Amino acid sequence: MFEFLNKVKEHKFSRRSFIGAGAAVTAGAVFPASRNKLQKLTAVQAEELQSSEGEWIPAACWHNCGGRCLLKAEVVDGIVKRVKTDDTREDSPDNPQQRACVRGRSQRQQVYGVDRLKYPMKRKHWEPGGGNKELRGNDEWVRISWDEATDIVASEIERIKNKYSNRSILVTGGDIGRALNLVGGHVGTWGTTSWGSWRWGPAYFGLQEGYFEHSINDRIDLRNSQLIVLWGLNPAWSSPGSPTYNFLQAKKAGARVIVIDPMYSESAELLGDEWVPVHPGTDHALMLGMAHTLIEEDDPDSNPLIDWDFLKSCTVGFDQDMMPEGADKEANFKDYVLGTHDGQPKTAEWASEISGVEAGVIRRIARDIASTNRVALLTGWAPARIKNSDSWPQMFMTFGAMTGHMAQPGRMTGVSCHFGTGNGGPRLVMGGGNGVPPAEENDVPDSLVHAEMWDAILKGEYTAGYNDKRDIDIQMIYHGMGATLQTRDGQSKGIDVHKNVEFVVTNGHFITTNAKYSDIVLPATTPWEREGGFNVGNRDALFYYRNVIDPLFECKDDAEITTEIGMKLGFTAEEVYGDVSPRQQLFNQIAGAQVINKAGTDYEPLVTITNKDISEWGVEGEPQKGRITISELEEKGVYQVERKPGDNYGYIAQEAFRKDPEANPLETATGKLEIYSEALAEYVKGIGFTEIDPIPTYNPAIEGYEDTYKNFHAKEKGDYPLQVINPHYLRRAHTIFDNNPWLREAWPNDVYVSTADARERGVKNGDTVLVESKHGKTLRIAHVTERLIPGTIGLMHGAWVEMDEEKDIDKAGSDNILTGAIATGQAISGWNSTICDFRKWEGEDLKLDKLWEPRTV
Amino acid sequence: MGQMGFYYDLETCIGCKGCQIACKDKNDLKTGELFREVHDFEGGSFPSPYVDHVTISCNHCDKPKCVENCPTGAMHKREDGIVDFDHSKCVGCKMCMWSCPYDGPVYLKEEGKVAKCDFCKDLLENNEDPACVSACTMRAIDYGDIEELKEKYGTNQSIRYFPDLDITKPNIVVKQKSR
Amino acid sequence: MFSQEWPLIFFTLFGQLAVGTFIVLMAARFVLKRNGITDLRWLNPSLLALTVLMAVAIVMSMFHLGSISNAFYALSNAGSSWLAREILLAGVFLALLVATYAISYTQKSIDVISWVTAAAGIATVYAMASVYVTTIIPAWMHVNTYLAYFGTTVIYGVVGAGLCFMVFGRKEFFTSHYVSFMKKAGFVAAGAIIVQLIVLPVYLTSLAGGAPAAQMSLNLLFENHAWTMLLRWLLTIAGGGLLIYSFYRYADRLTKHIPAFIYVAVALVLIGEFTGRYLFYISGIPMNIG
Repeated sequence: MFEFLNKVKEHKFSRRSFIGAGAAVTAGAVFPASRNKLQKLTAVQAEELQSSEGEWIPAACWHNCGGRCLLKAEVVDGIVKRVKTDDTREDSPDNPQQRACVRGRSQRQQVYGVDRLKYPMKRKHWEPGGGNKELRGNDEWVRISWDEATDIVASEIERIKNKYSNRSILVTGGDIGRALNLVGGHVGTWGTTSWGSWRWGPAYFGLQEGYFEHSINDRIDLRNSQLIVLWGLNPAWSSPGSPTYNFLQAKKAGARVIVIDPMYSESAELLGDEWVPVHPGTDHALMLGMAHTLIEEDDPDSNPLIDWDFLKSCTVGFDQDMMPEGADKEANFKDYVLGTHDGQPKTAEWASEISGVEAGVIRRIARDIASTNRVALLTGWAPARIKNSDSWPQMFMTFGAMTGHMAQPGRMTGVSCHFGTGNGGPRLVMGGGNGVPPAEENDVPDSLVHAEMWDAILKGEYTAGYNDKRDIDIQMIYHGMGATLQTRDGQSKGIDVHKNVEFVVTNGHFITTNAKYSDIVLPATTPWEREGGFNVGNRDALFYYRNVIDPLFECKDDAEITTEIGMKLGFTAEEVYGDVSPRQQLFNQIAGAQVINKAGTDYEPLVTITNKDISEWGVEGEPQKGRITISELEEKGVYQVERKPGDNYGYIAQEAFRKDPEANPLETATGKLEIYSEALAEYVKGIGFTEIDPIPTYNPAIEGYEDTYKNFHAKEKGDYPLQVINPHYLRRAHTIFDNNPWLREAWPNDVYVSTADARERGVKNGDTVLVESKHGKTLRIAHVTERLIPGTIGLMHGAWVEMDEEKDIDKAGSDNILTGAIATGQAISGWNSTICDFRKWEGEDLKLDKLWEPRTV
Repeated sequence: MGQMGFYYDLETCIGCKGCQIACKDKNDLKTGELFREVHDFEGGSFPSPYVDHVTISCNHCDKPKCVENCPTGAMHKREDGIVDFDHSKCVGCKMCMWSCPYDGPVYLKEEGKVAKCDFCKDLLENNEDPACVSACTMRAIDYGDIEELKEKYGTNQSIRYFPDLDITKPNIVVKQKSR
Repeated sequence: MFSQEWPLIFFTLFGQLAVGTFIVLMAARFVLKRNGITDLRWLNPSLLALTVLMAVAIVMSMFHLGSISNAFYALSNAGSSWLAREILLAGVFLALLVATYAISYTQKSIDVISWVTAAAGIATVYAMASVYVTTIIPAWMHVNTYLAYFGTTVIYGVVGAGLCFMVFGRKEFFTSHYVSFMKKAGFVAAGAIIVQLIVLPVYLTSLAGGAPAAQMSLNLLFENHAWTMLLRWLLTIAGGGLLIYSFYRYADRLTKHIPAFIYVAVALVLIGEFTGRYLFYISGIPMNIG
C-alpha cells in the first residue's frame, strides 16, 4: 500500500512538479543536485533553504522585448530562491531604477519550468530521410544521448548536402551557421519582422537608419513637448520597464497626449487626453487627410500651419518648386494631396471614409498639431507591420516636415519603439565584443523572404529580386534559435512545410512551436546557466549578468551544440568557434565596455581592470582605468549614466542637419529629407514584389479595411467583414513566456472583440469563439470590450499554436494561423490587418490557458 | 505602535500585474494562489471607454474580521498593525477566507493551510521595501505608517470597486481617477 | 464557491439532529412522566445513539480542515471567534451527552443534567449559526441563518425523537400519550417551517437590495437552483404535512403498527432539510472587490 502511494506521488511530481509546480522551495520539491542528478528536498532542507540568505547574482533578462531591466537572483546552494529588481540606486524620475516587468519577474518559472527540455529528444517515428513526416507535431518523444543526437544531425546534414546540395539546408536563426558554413553554407531568411516598413526604408528617404536610430529625441527632451501624438503605440503593453514611466514624466511636465489607435490601450488610459479610434492599416489615408487640411487652410500670414522654411531648407518633393533635379514636377506631393492630376483630392472627408475618423476630427487634430509649438509625433512599428505599408514611414516623415516638428527641443517625428521607446539617441554605455572570431563566409547566397518562404518552399521557387525568381528545394530546416514557425506569417503553410521536408532540428528550452514540428530537439541552456555577458535596452544603462546556476539536466550552450555538431562534421572545436574560452569571452566584453565621456563627445572605458583582476579571472588582458571596478559590476549588474535636464547626454535627432542642412547633409541622394524619393521607390522595386511611387501615395493594405467590403463604395460587407490586429501582450515577449504558469494566470490571452461586433453575433463575454480568416481558424475565449473600434478584433501576438489536426483548428489563439503569407514591397511581414470574422463556437468550451497541461517531455 | 498600510495610486497603475508576480515569486505561490491580485475593470462605451485596475492584497485592517473569526489565533495583528499569520497554528478551516471581503487570505491546497500577505515582514526587517512596492514600474505603490501615508497622499481610502470600508476598516490610502 | 462543503453540511445537520432530538426526547420524558409513564426503555439507547451521532458530526467537521494535526489550536480564540466557540460548545455538548447517558445508565436522575445538556445544545446551534452570520457572505449574514439552523433543529428534533421511539421503543409500550405528544410536536415542527417560510421573502428581498455578492447569491438561487429551492420546501412541507396527517389518520393504529406513510414522511423531511442546507452553502458568495 505504501509503495503504491509512493509511486503515485513520484508519478505526480515527474508530471507536474519538477522543482515544484511553482518552483517552490518546499519539501518534496525536486532540484538538480548536480548535472544529471535530481535531489528531492526534505522538509528540513526546504526549511533551511527558505531561511538562509543567499547570494544575489545579477541574472540575465535576455528576451526580445526591446526593454532591458535589472534582474537579480538570490541563490542558495545553487538554487534560485527568488528574484528582485533594481535597488542599486535611489529611484527618481530623472534616474529611475531599471525595474523589471512582469515577465522578467516570472523568469524563475521559465528557467525552472516543469516543461524545460531536459535531454536531447528524438521523434519516435523518425528515420533517416524523415520516416513518417506527417507525424511531426503529434509524434511521441524519445530521449536520446547527446552523442546520438549530434550523430543524427551531422549525418543528416551530410546526407542532404550530398543528395541535394547546401541550397537545401535552411537555417532560421542561431549560430549553427558557424558549423554549416564550414561544409558549404546554407540558405538563410530575411524580412522586416517587427519593424515593418520602418526597417529598411527610412535610410533611403533620410529619416535615419531604422534599426539603431529612430529619429526621436531623448526622454528628458520629451518633457519639452507640449503635445505628444502616440500613433499606434502602446508602451504600457509593448515596452514595459521604464518607458511608460518616462512618458508619465512628460505628461506631468504638461504635455497633452493624443492617442491614435484601433484600441483604447492602457497607454491611452494613462496618458491620453483624446483617443482617436482608427481602422487598422488606414493611418496613411488619415494622415493624408490631415495633410490636406493643412494645405487647404494654411496661409503664411494669417494662418501659418505649414513650416515652409523647413520644407524649403530641409526637404525635397513637397511641391512642384521643390522637386529634385530630373524629376517630373507634376509628381510632387502637394499636387497628389490636392488631387490636381488624379482628380481625387485627399480631403478629410476622403480620409474619413477610409479611416473611420470623422472629418471634423481629422481637421481639428491637423490644426492642433500644426499650431502647437512643440510636438512629438511618435509612432510604433505596428501601423507599419501591414502589407503595402511601404510608403507609410515616408508619409509620417512628410507630415512631420510639413509641421516642422523635427530636430528641435520638444519637436520630433519618428519611431518610438523597442529599446528606443520615448528615448532616442545613441547609447551612452555599451559592452565590448567577446573576441570570438567571425564565422566562415556562407557560400550559399540564397535567402528567403519571411513573408514568402513557406510558399516558396512548397512551390520550389522564390523571389530573389525584381524579375528574378529562383528555384529552391529545401529539405532540411535548422531552428538554431527564435520562433520562426510561430512568428512568421502564414503559419498553416509553415506547418505544411515542416511536414514535408526531410529533416527538422531545433535548439530550445521547451517544446515550442519550432520544436513541436521537429525531428530532433536539443536542450539549450538559458543565459542563467551560462558564463555571463551584457544586455542593452534603453540608451541610459548597460546590464551585466553572470552565471547564476549550473546547466540544468543535460542542457548545453548553443555554442557548445554548434561546436559538437561541427566536430561530428569533421572539424576541430577551434575551427568552429575559435579558441576563446567562455571566461575570456566574458572578460573581453567587460574590458571592451565603453561609456560616454563627461563632455558627451566620445567614449571611454567603463571598467577598471587591474593585474590582480586579470590573474584572478585567469584570462589574458591589459589593465585599464575606467569608472567602476569589476567587482562593482559583478555585484550591481548595472551601470546607468546619471542624467539631468540640460546635461551633455541629451539628444535631438538630426539637430545639426536642421541647423545647417548644407553643412550637414543627410545620406540621401539629395542630402535632404526626401518627400520625393527615387531611391526608396527603386529599393522597393528591386526587392521584387510590389512597387511604390517616389512620393508617399496611399496604397490600401492587402487584406486591409477596404477588403472587408465586397463593394467598398456601396458599403457592402464581404465574407470577412472584420480586421484582426495583433497587439503585443504582457503575457509574452513575442512567443517567449507563453508557457509560463504565473503569466498564464495573470494574462489569460482572450481575444478582444468589440461590444457591437459581439452583439451582432450573439457572443457574450466569456464565450468561446471561433476566429476565422482566409488562411486559418483559431479558438479563443471572447473578451467583449468597448475599447476597440467596431470592425476590429484584437488577437494577441505570440501564443504557441495548438492544432486540433482533425478539425484543422488552432486552440491557442496563434496570431499567425490567421495571417496569410503575402509578400509586398520591401518584404514586409504583415500582421496588423488580416481580414476575418468570428462566431460563437458551438463545440466544447475552451479551458483557461492556466489550466492547460504543460508540454512536459 | 503605529499601523502599517499601503498607498495605491490607481491613476497611474497600468495593470501590468508586476506586483502580483513579484508577490508570487517572493512567496513561492502556485497557480490559483495570489496574495496580491490586480483586478481589471472596464466601462464606458465606445468611443469613450475606460479601463481601471485595482491592485490589492491584505489591507491589514483596523478591524480584521479574519483575526476576529480565526478559531486558532493563527491570524493575528502585530504591534505594527500588520495582520500576520502563524503558519504552525493554522488548521485550514478557511474561516478567515469567509471573513475577508478582499480575498486577502489564500488557501494553499498542498499544505492544507491558509497564508496571506505578511507585508514582506522579513524584508521590512532588513530595511527593504515589500516585493510589490519595489516591483512597480509605475511607482504606483507605496507603504508605511498609515498616518504618514495620509499626510503624504491625502485621506481617501475608498476604491470605486470596494465593499463597504466599515466592515473591516482597511489600512490603505488611495488615489483614484475621478470619473 | 463553497458547493463542496460536504463535511460542514453533515456536521451542521447531524449536530442539529442530535441537539433537536435530545431536546424533544427530554420534553417527551417530561410529558410522559407527568402522565405517569416511567418505563422509558428508549431513553438509554437513544442517548447512546445521540452521543454517537454527535461524535460522528464532530469527526465529520474535521474533514473540513485542511490540516488536522494541530486541530486542538482551534479552541484558542474562543474569546472572539464563533468558530472556536462552536467547536468548544459542540465538544461540551458531546461531553454532556456522555455524562447524561452515564448518569441515566446508572439509573440516577438526569433531571438536572438534561437541562444543562439541552442548554449546551441550544448554545451549540446558536454558535453554529453565528459562525456564518459573522462572515462577509451576505447570504449568510442574516437572521435567516438563525431561523434556518434552529428550524432544522426543531424539525429534525421531532423527526429524530419519533425515530428513537420507533427504533428503540417496543411497540407495546406506545400508548396514546406518545401519539398525543407526537401530534403536538408535529405542530411545533410545522410552526418552525411556517416561521421560515414567512421570513423567506424578507430574506430574499434583503439579498436583492444588498451588496453585489448578495445579488449574485440571489441570481445563483433563482437562475441555477430555482427548482432545487422549490423542491427543498415542497419536500419539507409535504413531509411535515404527511407526518401530522399520519398522526391523525392512523392515530389508533400507531401503537400497534407504524405505517409506511410515516417512514416516507420522515424521509421527505430529512431530504428536504438536507437540500435546504446544500442550498445554504452553495449560495454563500463572499463580498469581494468588483
